[in-house]
Amino acid sequence: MGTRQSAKKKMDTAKAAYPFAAIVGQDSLREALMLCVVDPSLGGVLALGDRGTGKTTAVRGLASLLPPVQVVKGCRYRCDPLDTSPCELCNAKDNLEAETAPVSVVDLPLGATEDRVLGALDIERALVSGEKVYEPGLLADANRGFLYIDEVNLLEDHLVDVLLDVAASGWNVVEREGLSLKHPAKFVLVGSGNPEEGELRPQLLDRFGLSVDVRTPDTAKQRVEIIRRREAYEADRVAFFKKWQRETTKLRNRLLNAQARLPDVIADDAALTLIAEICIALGTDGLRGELTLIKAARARAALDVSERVDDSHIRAMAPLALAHRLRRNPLDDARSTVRVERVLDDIFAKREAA
Amino acid sequence: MATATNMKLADETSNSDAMLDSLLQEQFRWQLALDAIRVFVVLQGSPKTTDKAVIVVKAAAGPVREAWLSVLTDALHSFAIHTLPCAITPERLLGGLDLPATLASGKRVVQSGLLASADGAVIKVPMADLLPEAVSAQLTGVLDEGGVRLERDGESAFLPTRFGLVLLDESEGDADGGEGLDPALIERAALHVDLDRISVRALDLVLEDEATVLSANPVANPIADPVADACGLCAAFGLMSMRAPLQLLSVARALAALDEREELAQSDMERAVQLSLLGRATTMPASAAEPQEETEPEEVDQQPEPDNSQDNEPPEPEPTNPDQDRPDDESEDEVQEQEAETELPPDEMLVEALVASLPPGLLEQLRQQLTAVQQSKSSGRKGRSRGNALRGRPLGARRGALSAGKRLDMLATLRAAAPWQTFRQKQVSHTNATKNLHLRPSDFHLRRFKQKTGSTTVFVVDASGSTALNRLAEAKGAVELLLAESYARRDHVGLVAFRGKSAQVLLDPTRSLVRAKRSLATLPGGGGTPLASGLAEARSMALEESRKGRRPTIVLITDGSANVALDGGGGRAKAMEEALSVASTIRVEGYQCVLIDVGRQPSNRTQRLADAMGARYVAMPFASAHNVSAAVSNSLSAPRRKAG
Repeated sequence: MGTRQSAKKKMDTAKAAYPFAAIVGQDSLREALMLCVVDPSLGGVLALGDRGTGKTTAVRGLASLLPPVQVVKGCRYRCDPLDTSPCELCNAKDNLEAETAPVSVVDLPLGATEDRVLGALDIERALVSGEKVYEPGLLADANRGFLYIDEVNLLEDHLVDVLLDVAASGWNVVEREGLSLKHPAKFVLVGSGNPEEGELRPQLLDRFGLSVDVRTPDTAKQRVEIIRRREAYEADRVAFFKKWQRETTKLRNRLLNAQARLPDVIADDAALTLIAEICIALGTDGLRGELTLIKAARARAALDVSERVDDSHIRAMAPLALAHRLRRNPLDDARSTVRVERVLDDIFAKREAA
Repeated sequence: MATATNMKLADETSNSDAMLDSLLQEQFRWQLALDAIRVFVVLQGSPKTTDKAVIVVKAAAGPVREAWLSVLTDALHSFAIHTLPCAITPERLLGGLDLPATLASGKRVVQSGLLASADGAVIKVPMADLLPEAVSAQLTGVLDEGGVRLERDGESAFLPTRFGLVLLDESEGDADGGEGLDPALIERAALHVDLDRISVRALDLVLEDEATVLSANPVANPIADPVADACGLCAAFGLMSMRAPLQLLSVARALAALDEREELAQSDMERAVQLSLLGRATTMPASAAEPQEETEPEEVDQQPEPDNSQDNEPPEPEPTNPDQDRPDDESEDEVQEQEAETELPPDEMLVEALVASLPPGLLEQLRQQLTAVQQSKSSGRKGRSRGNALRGRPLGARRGALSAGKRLDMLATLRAAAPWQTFRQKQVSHTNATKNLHLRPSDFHLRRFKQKTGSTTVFVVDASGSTALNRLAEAKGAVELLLAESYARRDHVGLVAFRGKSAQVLLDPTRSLVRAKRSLATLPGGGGTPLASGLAEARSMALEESRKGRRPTIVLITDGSANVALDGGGGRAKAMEEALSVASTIRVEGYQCVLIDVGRQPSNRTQRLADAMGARYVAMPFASAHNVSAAVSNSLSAPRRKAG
């Protein structure tokens, strides 16, 4: 009895993640995550960096920040009532009732089995009543939300294959155990990891829209502040949340505002030309880099309450959108972010001279 | 004569001094180890979520470890202790579907794993250094989150759990180049104990007055801002992770609690540094007076330690007082004076005090140990990746007996059982026919997987004078290009270089491109060509890799002018003969090989070596790195040559 109660209490506190607004430093990572909230089609964030730099804290804190969304009432995939291609069930229905629901942030733990990721035959129903019933998995839960993979570089290869497929198409096609169905699975992929523990597969790397190099905070003042806040949070989570409630609300409103503005943000020909110039100079493969950079710059402009994309937005977003897409040049030892910065400096210097 | 005797006498005295010193140090370490246990128990019992009882114990199996473990077991008498074997399966670790029970009852029965059921208990991990990557990643995840996130076999749950963790690190550590304890686990541990350099004699002496250890603390000397101190101290020891200051604080607070004080004292902080930071420091505070900024771990090895350690050494401790591990009152006063006069930042003060509180010679040893660890780290300690029999492409199901580590194919099993249902229903109808489904062991079908065998490319680079003069830079470039390709293929890469008298393993097989590039960049050239040693080293690496289930390919880059024999002696003829004999062994063992001739012209000599190895011969008279890389890629994808 006592143990169960304490277990429940523990669970509640464990659920209350450290508030996003209270994170010290890590500006790039915070910004990247916020941009993905503004424009979920950006393709997600990959946070790579040393251990103990607060990667996981930032991602988990995101959940409390996310503005709620409209979903079809009773839909297990949380379809958007306005979506033109919803799941098969919603498609069959005539009029869809809407309700407000929080955005899901789903964890994909390393030890997950394929059946829980993709969804599988409900074993109990299969055994007891011989029914063939599909039990949705994590990809279904993550539809229209965030899918977070900590230590993404350690993820088993077969799960990576599955993810790549679904992340590309936005649909989870299940053909297993005699089941045959598909459901929408559009999610923002967020991964974090330490590159020292193993490198990420290039295909998966390319799938992420933005990448962030998370460095350990190096000023003593920042480090001390991080520990102080962490201690305050551990000491009394409820009070800590209250203290940061205002900031959280402010940030959430900013995100909502940016979401509303995004469709009207203009990226003119000059901006597109600059982006193309940067991508050509860096020699990024394919067009995914360009597309992502345009989207990121627009989202950034929306966050800045600006009506059109200007050079500063592009400049700020280029390292996030392009650094992980450079062809690896083994003869150049510089970090890829440094290489992007070098090219950016060049291009902007030339433009100013002209 | 007389002087000789004097010298002998002097020798003896200094010898006995040294012995006394080392005994003192051993006692000091043993006391630390015992303090760590007390702190561990406090952390284990603490309700605070930041207090995580995780301890790394570096020790080979032996009487000292036994003694320590028995003290630990006694101290933990009120907690259950579970053991986590290295070979634990994910089902047992995290939990999952209990298949036999599920089948028997027709209902889903979930069994909880070790981590979830160890809530409130202590988990002991013997041979933690051998823990597979998958297991240690899950351990750290559960520690961080305070619970098991179960997404397995149709079960989805968050099972809160909080446990103490005792990680017994039995790796030899320094020079073996083997797999060490996962750095991610090391980072999660608040307490770090090294029992390896304690002998049994030290332990006997101290055990008698064990009780004096903690009460020997000088009277509390309160600290104004423990958080700032903790951050500064961690930075000074090169621990940039933000977990380190939190761990340091909780250890210091546990020490204060043991002493029944509310306020943190400077002595708590000092002791906490010894317990929590010294064992894993990546840099030593060179001098407390110097600015503490240059603590970037990478910079450490280039930066020669200024030899001013003597300034920091405390006055010789009085040999009559074996318990002395604190600065005497005088130095405490000095410290206070300094504080008042110069207003040094508190962390620098603490570092100084700490250095003063260590017995003589300890710091020097720690420093040496540190450089040794760094060296072995840069040569890639970790090539960890272990196969999992349950991974890979599905191969369909086959009938078989259900046992641990096998996966049941539910659908195939049900299908197999279906035609028999009516018959079985009748068979058992006279007893209890309430069951809907009748399964027999003969129905069980197991899933099968085909595991993709990973492959390892072993590069053997000739860095001798003859190559260095002409083509070493080119060879390096080629290897780097190949590295990038291996990386794209998710291959492992090992690196052997030979020059001077012998061959050297620069990099144990790893998948980290960064590490491979780093070790290649620092490879110097010059000296003789011990070709046979290089090949022998490559062969043993290839052998090791094939034992791990990976397919090795040897890429030899040389100009073939062997002139140093296996024993390090000269002689062109002998050297070449030996090289050919090692090469033919490689051929017999059947590894795929490529030889890249980087001599000025293609030579018969190198061609003969390639034949002896069964290697594909690629002459690159004036090749660019790109050509070399293309040649090797082609031969890697070409059908494999038959050996013999």
